[in-house]
Amino acid sequence: MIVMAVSAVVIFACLGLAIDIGRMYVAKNEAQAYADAAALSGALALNGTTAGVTAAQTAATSNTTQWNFNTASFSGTVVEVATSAAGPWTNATTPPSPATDYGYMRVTASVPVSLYFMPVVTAFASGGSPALSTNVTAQAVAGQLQQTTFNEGAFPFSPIAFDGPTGGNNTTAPWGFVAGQQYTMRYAANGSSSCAGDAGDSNHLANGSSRGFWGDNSAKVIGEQVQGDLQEESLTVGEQLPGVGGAKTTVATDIEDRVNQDGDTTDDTYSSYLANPAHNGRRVVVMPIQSEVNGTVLGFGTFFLLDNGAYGHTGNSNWCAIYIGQANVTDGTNPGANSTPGAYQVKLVQ
Amino acid sequence: MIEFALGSFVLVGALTGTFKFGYSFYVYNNLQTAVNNGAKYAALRTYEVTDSTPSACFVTAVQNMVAYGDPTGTNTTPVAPGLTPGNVSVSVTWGNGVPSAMTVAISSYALNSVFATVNLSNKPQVTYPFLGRYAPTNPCTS
Repeated sequence: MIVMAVSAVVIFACLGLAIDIGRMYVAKNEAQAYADAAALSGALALNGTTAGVTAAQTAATSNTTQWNFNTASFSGTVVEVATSAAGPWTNATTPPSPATDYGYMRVTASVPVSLYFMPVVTAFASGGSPALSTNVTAQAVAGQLQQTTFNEGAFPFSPIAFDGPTGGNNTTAPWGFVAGQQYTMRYAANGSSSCAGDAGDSNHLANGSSRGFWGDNSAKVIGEQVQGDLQEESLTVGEQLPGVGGAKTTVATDIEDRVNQDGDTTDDTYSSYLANPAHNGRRVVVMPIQSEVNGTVLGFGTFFLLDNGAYGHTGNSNWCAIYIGQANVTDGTNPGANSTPGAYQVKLVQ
Repeated sequence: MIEFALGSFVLVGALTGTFKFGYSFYVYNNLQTAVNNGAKYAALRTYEVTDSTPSACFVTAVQNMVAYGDPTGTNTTPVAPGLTPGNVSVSVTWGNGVPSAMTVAISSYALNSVFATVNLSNKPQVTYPFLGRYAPTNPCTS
């Protein structure tokens, strides 16, 4: 009988290992899935304002992934924001002000897993008051990361920077681009005209051998790249831009189709576009910016496509897009949190 | 001897119970990992139709990703015994004309732990915000 009593403790320890620890592993996995998804949702919503941090916290905590075998919602999730993946972290309930550059979000999900068998064993160690539950914690960090390589999805046009003598020798980002100004995507035939931002710079008036396209030479393929971000050619800062010539007038239709994918096809400034609740980000695109001097890729910029009907269907029309300086590329509905010009994507950091 | 006879009922019960729960948790944990990976995959995959009903090949790829850990379906070793792509459901949340979130779940899967069978309906389930490319005019290829 004494043997039985002693071995019962050992048996409960074994049960505890199998069942309580098993549940803890499952809970950890569930919490990790939730934290990953919540951190991504939140990082997508960060836009550099205090209100954006609050909205991001709401976006993160409203993720519907559950725990305890998909029966219980997460509560008490800690949402923090920072300007880098290394921190320091600021709790989103007291948002930083100003919130500029706060582009990283850390989500810590914690759940109390009830213990059924382990307390029998731990009661001996704790003098009769064993822990009846244990907290299982999972953490994830997601952020808006500036991209210097686009393996896919870049728009098949390349505006020219102002880094040469005729453009003002703007050798650092954003290379003479001014937010809100229109720059040329495709130049008119024989360099007869360009968009307002390029006007007056003779080096930007490209001739027929390079009209602003890059990558594939087929108008049909370029059209698909315009409509669905299907660019598959990888491009990294510093590489020579594979420029392509030709008028490719049919692409105008594809650009208009792209504009029409958006809920807002009429607003003609980026700020009024963001203020329109119907916008969905389809008019925001990322393009490589090429050097006026040697045609290498200087960086990636985000541009806003003009309203429906603005793109001419002849070779003599120039096609323009508005430079917007920074944007969160994964979700064009959001200007992004960063004050540094560039193209950003939301990714899990850890 | 009598003591062992009495005690063995408890011991056998404890043993089968431990196996039942321990094995169920193990399988559930594998499913949770698979669903999480599948939902991440769905969130990053190119979405190519203009409404919240995903194309057949989108669904197939996500189902294969969950069931086999391989979107192409070349590898057909399921991550849990008897799990088939048909047990995986994919649903798309639609907002303002673009996909906004992907939810992946296991449905109608019988988790058989020898001494008991548990039917999993919509669990595990994971939702990710959509992060991939939206290519509404590109026909579904693979």
